[in-house]
Amino acid sequence: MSRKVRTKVGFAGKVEEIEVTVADNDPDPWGADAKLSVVGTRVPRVDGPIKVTGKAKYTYDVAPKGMLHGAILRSPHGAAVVNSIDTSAAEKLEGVVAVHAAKKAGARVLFHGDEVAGVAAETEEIAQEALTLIKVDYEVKPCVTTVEAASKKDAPRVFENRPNVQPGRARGGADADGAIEKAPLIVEATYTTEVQTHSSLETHGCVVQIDGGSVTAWASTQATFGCRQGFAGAAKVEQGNVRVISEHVGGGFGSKFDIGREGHIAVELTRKAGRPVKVMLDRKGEHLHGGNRPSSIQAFKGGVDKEGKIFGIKVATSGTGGIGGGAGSAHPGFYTVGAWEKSETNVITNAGEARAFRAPGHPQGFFGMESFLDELAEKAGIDPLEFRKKNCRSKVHLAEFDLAAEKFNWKERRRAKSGSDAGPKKRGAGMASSVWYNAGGQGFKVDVVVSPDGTVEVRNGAQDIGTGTRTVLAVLVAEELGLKPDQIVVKMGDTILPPGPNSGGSTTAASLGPAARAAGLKAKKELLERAVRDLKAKPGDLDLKDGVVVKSGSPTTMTFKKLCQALGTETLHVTGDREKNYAGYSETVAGVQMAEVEVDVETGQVRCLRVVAIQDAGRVVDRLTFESQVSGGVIQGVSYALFEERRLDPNLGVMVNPDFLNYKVAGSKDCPEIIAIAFDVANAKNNVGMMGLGEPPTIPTAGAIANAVANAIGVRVRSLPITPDKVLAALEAKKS
Amino acid sequence: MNRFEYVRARSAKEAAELLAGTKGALLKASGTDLIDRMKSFIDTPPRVVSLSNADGMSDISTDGGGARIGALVTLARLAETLREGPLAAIGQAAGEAATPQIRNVATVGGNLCQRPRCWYYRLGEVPCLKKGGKDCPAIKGDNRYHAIFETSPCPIVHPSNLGGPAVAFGATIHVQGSKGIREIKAEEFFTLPKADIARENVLERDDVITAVSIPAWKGARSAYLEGREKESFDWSLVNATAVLQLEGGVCREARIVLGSVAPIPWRVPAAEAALAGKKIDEAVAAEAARKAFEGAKPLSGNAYKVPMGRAIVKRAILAAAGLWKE
Amino acid sequence: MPKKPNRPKNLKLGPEVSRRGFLRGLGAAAGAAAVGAPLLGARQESRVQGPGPVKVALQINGARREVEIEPRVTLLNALRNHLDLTGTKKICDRGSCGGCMVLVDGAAVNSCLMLAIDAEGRKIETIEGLSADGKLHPIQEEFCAHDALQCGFCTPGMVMACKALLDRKKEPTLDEIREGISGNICRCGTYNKIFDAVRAAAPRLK
Repeated sequence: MSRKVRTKVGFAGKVEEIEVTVADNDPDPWGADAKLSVVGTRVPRVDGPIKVTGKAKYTYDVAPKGMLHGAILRSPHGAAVVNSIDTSAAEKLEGVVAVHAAKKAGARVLFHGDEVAGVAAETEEIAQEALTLIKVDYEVKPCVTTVEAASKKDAPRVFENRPNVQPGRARGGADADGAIEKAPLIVEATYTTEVQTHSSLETHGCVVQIDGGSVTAWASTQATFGCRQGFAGAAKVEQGNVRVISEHVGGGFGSKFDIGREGHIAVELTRKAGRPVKVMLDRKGEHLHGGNRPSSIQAFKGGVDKEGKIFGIKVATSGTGGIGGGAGSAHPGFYTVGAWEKSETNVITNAGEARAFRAPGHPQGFFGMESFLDELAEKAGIDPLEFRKKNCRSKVHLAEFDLAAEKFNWKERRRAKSGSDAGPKKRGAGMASSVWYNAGGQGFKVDVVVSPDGTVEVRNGAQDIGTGTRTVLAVLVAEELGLKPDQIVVKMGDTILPPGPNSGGSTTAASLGPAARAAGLKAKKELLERAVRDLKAKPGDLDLKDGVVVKSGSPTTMTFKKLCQALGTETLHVTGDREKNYAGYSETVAGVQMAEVEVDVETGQVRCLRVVAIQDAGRVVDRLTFESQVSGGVIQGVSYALFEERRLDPNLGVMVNPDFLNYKVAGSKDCPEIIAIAFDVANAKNNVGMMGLGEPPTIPTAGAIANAVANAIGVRVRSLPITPDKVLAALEAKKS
Repeated sequence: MNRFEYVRARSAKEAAELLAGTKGALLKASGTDLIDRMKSFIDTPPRVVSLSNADGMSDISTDGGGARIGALVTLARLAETLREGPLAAIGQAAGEAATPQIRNVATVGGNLCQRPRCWYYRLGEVPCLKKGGKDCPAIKGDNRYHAIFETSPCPIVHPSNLGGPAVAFGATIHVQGSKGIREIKAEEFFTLPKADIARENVLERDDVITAVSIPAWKGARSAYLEGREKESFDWSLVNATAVLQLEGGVCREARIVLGSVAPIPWRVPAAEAALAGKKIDEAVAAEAARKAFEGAKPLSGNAYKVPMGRAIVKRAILAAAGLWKE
Repeated sequence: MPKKPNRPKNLKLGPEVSRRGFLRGLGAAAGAAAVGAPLLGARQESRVQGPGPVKVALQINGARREVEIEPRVTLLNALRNHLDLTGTKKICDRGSCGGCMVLVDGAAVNSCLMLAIDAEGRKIETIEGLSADGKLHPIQEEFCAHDALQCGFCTPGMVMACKALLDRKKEPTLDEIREGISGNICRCGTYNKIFDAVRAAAPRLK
């Protein structure tokens, strides 16, 4: 059953009241006027101390008694047929306990890194050595590694039964050509992006232990419950007999939703060995088959007039997600672009498959679209900020544009004339925007357990992959119980705990936060009921604040600890349910970023100096971890814009940079100064007003940087990453 | 890694004997390169002779303007010691190498003897000429980081940061073999793939570098600069060492050596000649830089090294003359 | 289910006997001053060890720890797989990420590229040693206070890099901090927060 509640929504002082439908079970939503003491402050991560001391146990660190070390043999070829596989020499090596041939004679390997066999041995060193003793006879087949090569008429097929070129979704559907033809100014441009690997620092992998019919698996995952299903399938047991533990996860970014081939190999080796086996990918395996962001080729055509009106935009995209996964690019929908038409093609190539990667489709699509908007603005002779403001129908974005311009000092940093700085190092400024969609979802539960000694434990089985979910839950329960977040113990990452979401779509915190708040509130009510008699109060008069019971607004002498003593021998155990989202104020979150770069026109090197990131996340629960998420998104965006590129040799199909030497990830000297600003929007989508935050901050960065580079040097690099060779080539082309 | 027997040598002489004693034995100083290769099973020595306990190779002396640098001196210490003065390019080259923690252990001898960083060479599963294969996958493959001079048959670039300065300053490399000691001029130390595909220098397998000595360059000024993609840990795309003997701003003698453009440190006499007798300014430096890349034959993916390299050489010359600061 | 012994059959106990008698008894030389040289007390004899497991005595966080390992075992694997010191992380295993950073004789070192046997006799400090008394080190406190971590996997290496930096430089500039941790990769993107944490920790360590 539900009830109607009026609540205040809005942003930047523009507050209005709306009515939302709230489940009976659910607390009243916090509105724009909610007075909160912990929520919205700067709270240090609750698992900080165990992480900075090295005590936090990640999957990689787990070693149950008798555990063996696993290793995986991978295909050295881009495409081949396995004629034969002989594991006997490996089996004979002292210290090897089990060998599993994942590919049998006759099987095809489809990419460099395709799993061929697994070994379990007493030590890592022996397992690695054993791999060299597995004799595989391959018949090497021709392979295709690029969209162009795979799209040729006579190209070898990656899958025998499917053409390489697969039509994707068509969107928009308007007759953009017709609209564009009517425009006085027409622009055409093609943008390309390369494959980016997730490069989570903790690689994929697991430790599997099988005792009779029950399976315990420690897994580096962003989906404990999803992996429970995966391991149940691999071990052919019921899900109820599988426990997945993932107490701490060294990053995932969208790549760690299932148990992977390594999970299947670990189960096979564990069965064969009769002992627990750990299979963690090495860095090379992680690059080769740990997921990636697909490449993109985005051909834009658009029409505009001198006033900055856009008549229409048409875009045809293609890209490759290797042997699987679409390669679509997502483009912003909050700009008024006239007729919009989009077509999409996915091209299969001989490479490890793409997986969801932090805002799938968005960094590449927004790089394309935001670059193209700048090109339209330039054609129209309008400042790109003004151009966007003219063509934006999102009120939150419009407010953010102004705030960003002020914090960034757009007028000063944007070069009126490109290349006007003295000397070879030219500065420039650019901007881009983002949008995201999620406010979490229903169906999850959070338990709060209060002990007579005053200990408060919050429990949920989902994982915290470094986003700060633990801290968010602690803050929300602390808010309701009048405690400090570090007084709350949060247990997560174990499927014996209440059900939680997979960490995808920036939904984890917003899916669990409202349930945690509900559970905290329930615990408060139940605890205070026990104090009513002692304090001679009516239930409605009492509250919890700053660690004591408050009566009619005044603190009493009853501390939280004393209150809990009233539990006697009982432990208070309550459950908060995540009810469905309301029809709230805004369905999306908005972000705007402005970047300043310095381009050395003689060496071609680009440095990103400064990024202002304005980001809406609904109600920000913890401003400190908010800043971290935003800064982290920006830095990943810088890395994507300037450095990262999976390189496949076009002839052999091998990845030539499966490491951190030549797969280049931004380091400390490559980071811009980052000013991360929360743009608070009271959104009333759920009882907290939380929205997704993990993905959006990485969406606009590459586009903003590309636009800044164009502003700095007066010529556009339409291809990511913007490496010195491309900058020098663009400058050379401009000269001639 | 394969299983190997391990033995610590206490001196270069002992190391040379221990190397001679077992076929395929390899020498290890800090091991930052060797262990990496062994993890990829590119090298599988039955014996590793470790210098971790070796004596007499860890000192630097800088008497009389020159320097004698023990082979086990770390890059960190070298960068600290030779930060200024005529030999500054050496310190700068050491300081730009790899990462702080690599520089803390990586040695001068090891830096000079690093195997190529060619990504095909470093992939254990890919055959290449250096690994006994029949052809070079880089020539028709992805060669963005490869050579633009002497690209046949194997277009590696020499990975040593110190190689350029060693050649530029006319260093002498002191070597202990199992049969005795000898000295090798830096310019004769490095060898091209066409001379011997299996190695990058003239050392025999039982040779141990004991020290590198640099002659005095009184009054000279020098600089080492790199062009790269990342500022943090990255390999140079092009690097340049410039050593100038200046008198009143006029260049009496110049040494210009390029790195990351050829399988050996690439000295460019034409650029040196373009500087001799000239007052150093931007135009003169640019002309020398242009000369430095005459004859470059980029591969399919590395033509950018020419314009970038010209800028780096120009700046290195200007930096040596005190006319450029990064 | 097939049962196999816990230990490979050929793994011998104890160091192998020297195969090269002539190498024994050569005079022990004093260690040189460079980081690359061992402390006094290191083994001085040049005997052939391995390839089977040999006893290696490591001095870790002030305590002597003995492991029996093959010479091919890296210091990183020795810490993680033989001593249960899993705070030191394996990320790239090739010296390019700093996740495995420990201090050896006070200098920051990638433990993935150092053989454990080469670390014999040297003073090794790991992340576990930094708060051995149960109290967070000021660098660790500032990491927490500034949220200089997210997933936390690079964090132990980062903390050690910062310690190495602040041991050497009391008041590092921003550029020096950037340089000091330039060999450590953080994929979540916490660098800027780390700069803040180091600047806050520096005056507390004077």
